[in-house]
Order: sequence, then structure tokens, then C-alpha cells
Amino acid sequence: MAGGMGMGMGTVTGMVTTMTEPTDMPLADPALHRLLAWLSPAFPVGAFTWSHGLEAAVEAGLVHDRDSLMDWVGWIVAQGSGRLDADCLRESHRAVAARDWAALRESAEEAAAQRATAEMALEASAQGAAFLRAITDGWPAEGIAKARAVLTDAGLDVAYPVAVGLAAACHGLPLRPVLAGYLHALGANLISAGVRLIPLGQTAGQQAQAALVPVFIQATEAALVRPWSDRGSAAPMVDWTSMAHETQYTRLFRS
Amino acid sequence: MSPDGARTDAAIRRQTAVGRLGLVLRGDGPVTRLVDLDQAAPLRALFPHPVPGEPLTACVANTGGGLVAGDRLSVSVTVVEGARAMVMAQAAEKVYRSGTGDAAEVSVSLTAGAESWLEWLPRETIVFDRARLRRETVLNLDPTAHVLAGEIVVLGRRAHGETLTRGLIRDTWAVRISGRLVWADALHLEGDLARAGQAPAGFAGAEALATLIARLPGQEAALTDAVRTRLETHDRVRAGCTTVNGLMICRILAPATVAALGAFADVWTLLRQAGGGHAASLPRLWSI
Repeated sequence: MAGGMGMGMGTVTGMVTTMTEPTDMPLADPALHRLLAWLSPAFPVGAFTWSHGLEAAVEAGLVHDRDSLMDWVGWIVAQGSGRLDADCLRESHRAVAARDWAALRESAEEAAAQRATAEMALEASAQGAAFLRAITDGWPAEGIAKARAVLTDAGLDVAYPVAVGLAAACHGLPLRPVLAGYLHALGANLISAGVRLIPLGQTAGQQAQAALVPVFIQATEAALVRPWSDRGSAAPMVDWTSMAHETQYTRLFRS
Repeated sequence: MSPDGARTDAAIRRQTAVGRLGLVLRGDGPVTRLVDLDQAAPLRALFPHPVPGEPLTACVANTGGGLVAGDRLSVSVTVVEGARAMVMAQAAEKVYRSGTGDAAEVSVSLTAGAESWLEWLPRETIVFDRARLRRETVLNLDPTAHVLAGEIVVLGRRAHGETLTRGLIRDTWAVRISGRLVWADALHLEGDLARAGQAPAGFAGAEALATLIARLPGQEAALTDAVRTRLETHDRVRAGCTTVNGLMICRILAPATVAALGAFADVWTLLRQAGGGHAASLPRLWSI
């Protein structure tokens, strides 16, 4: 599998340390159902309208078949915005679980500012706002209103990974499955975009998604032990495609 | 052993350096004056002869001949009360192989006050195999300040047969306007750098990545279009431009560093002329 495994290897060696938080708990049934619902393509955040620059990558011929799609998407999840989103989700989840509102503000401020392009900024803030609306109205829990108020008072846009981390912490969902679900959903959404854009058959799309599961797992494990001071990404080509997308002539997607 | 290899080992043996450079520049009518200079080797500032009509220019020199593990350099530039200054690197910076696993750390803090003009003009930072670099650039801007800033990272010199296999390259930005964080960026490559260098969504074989950040209040939209048009004339680079929260961000990826430098200089001169009314050229020192 050629997907973006290599870069993460060096960062997982600390995994033997004992977790001080309940990341490993099996999901109780209600928790599993929440996670499946929130990260499903049917959840009303409009995920299907964003391609994260993939539309321009296809236009430029950088992504043109199943294997090149897998490689592109795997790198985004492990080393691109998936890496950074995982850092922001993790920090906001921990902050809200501890009811540490200053830490929530810090992670939310960073997540809102860490946007390489105008379209990526909109992609993160539009989905974050839609996610929090849907959670507030449909899946209430203690703490959500307070967390939202903290961020609104600070004048912050809530990036999508912060919204997911915040809601998951309020509902008591443990971090590991939330990170795994978030990264899987990110990858699956981009594969779905690729299937429409290249175009590919549904079978090829599912083959790519299945083959990327080890990348999703690896990215999850790396994120659980990565220090906040190492947050970031290594996908300048994705930034370039997102900039190119702003002026692309024919566009199906908003990013 | 190649000359560069010998240089690397010599560099590793020397003591680590803790260098510091602080500049404060103040506007006095049409004149900009240096009001404070604080420097500690291996960093020092050089002041070329002023060019009439151009911003006061300071050159930052690292007399230590490159960076090794454990080095810590910090640069602080403050322009206040309408000062107009360009602070430029004197030469390309080399980051040598880390023998200890420690990183070389570089911290840059740029502060621009009301109605000021500040250019932070880099040369390329050349990262050698197994080097470890952590660099942060922090900008604190008044809403009326005009600023151009950049960094250029070179992933090994291909022409010298150098490619990166492992190491750490961490290069971060934080831009605050009136204290509010409007943009942040963190490039973080660690572990298998060969894979990152080749990955289609990573560097896709690029030798150099140049980043240019411009804060030119009220002019972003028009200048973004002008920059895009200019970049289309550079066919040996992949380059783009966007505007986020009132900042223009330009990225240039190129398989050859010289092509990245050419496009970078072209955009920089366009912006210093259109955005600041300065000459559409760079100091002669920069192009040596």
C-alpha cells in the first residue's frame, strides 16, 4: 500500500506509554450510535460539497485513477489537514472534558487560524457551524451551550474538528473512536468526491476506502500521542490545488 | 569525503550558538532611524548605504556559518511611528545534520506599528539530510501596518546530489492584527522525508517551497489578481495565491530552487511597488 504511512512511523514510537485518559474504552451502544450518526454523510454539514482542492488536483491530472486517489487521500489524512484537524479535535475534546474553557479557546483560535487558503477556511468554518447547529438542536447534552458561548464570546469561528471534539466530549465519547471516526469520514468524503470527479466506479472507490483503513488507524494512533507543539501538516501541494481551485473555470465543489 | 560532508562534521563539533538580534526603528518625518540595536554573536546586523526614497535596509548576518543541533537564534524587529524598513537575510542559511537529535531553533518576531512599512526578506534555508530545524515566525501588526514577509525552504540541494531521507523541518507562522490571531500555519515534516518530498500531495518532487505573506490593507483583492497574473508567467513553478482574513498568502513550489527564487522575487517586487510605492527591484545584495 503506497498511501501516506511512511511519515507517521517516527511519531508512533511513544505508544507504549500508559494512557492517562479513557481513550481505550469500548463504546457503549448509545455512544456508537451517536458517532455513526454525526460522522455519517447524511449528517447535515454538507460534507459532499467540499473537495479540499481535489477538484483542482483532478483537473491538473495529479489524481486520475484509483491508486493515485488513494495516495492523495491517504496523505491528506495522515500528513495533511487530517493531521492538523486531529490535533485540534484532540485538544478541544480534552479541554471540554476537563471544562477548561481557556484551553478550549486556545485550540479553537488556532484551529480557526490554521487555514491555508480562503476556501479551506470556509470549508472548516461552514461545516463547524452546521455541525454545532445540528448537535444543539438534535443531540443536546450538558456543556454544549456553555462551550458554544465561550467561543462566541471570544468571537471565534468554530472549525469542524473543534465542533466534533467539543460535542463528543460533552456526550462523554472517548477520544480514540472519535478521532478514528473523524479521520475515516474525512478520507471517505474525499474518496467519494474523487469517485464523482475522476470519475471512478463505486467498486474502485470502496476498494480505495478499504485499503486506506491502515492509514486511518495509523493516523489515529499517531494523533493520540502527538504533542500540541508538533501540530501541523506537510501537504503544500494540497494548498496549491486549493489556491488553483479558487480560479478554476468549471467547478462542482465549493473547495 | 565531499567538501560539504567535511563541513558538516566540522560544524557538528563546534559549540552550540545562542544568537540574538533586536532592531527597533522609528519614523521621524520622512526619515527612519535606528533607535535600538541589540546583537549577540553569531547574529549581527549590517547597514548598507541607504538608497534615496527606499526604506532603511538592514542585513541580518549569521557569522556562525550555518545552524547545527542545539543552536538557538532569535531575531526581533520592531517598526514604529511610520518607520519604513527592509530587513533582509545576507545569505542563504544552511541547516546541518544533527548529531545529537536536538533541533536548531530559530525564532523571528516582527512587530509593525501604525502606518509603518516592513519587509522581512529571506534568502533560502537549505536543509541538509538528517538536519533538525524548528523555526517560528510571529507577526504582531497594527491594522494600518503594511508588511511583506517570507520564508524559503530548500529540501537538500539536488545539484549537489543531496536528497533528504530523514530529519525534522518545522516552520511555523502566526500573524496577529490588533492582537487577534488571523492566520497561522505549521509545516511539519518529520520521519521519512524522502516520502514527503515525493508524495504527490506532499512536495511532489519540489526542491523548494517559498511562502510570501503580505498585509496591504485594502489592496488585497486587486493585488491578488495582479499576483496571479504575474505568476502565470513563471512556467517552471507551481504557484498560487489566496487571501485569508485580510492577508495575502502566496506559495511557490519548484523542482529547482532558482525557479522558486525567480518567481518569489518577481511577486515581491510587484507588491513592494504596487503596495508600498517602492522600487520594483530588490537590493543588489539579495541577488548575489
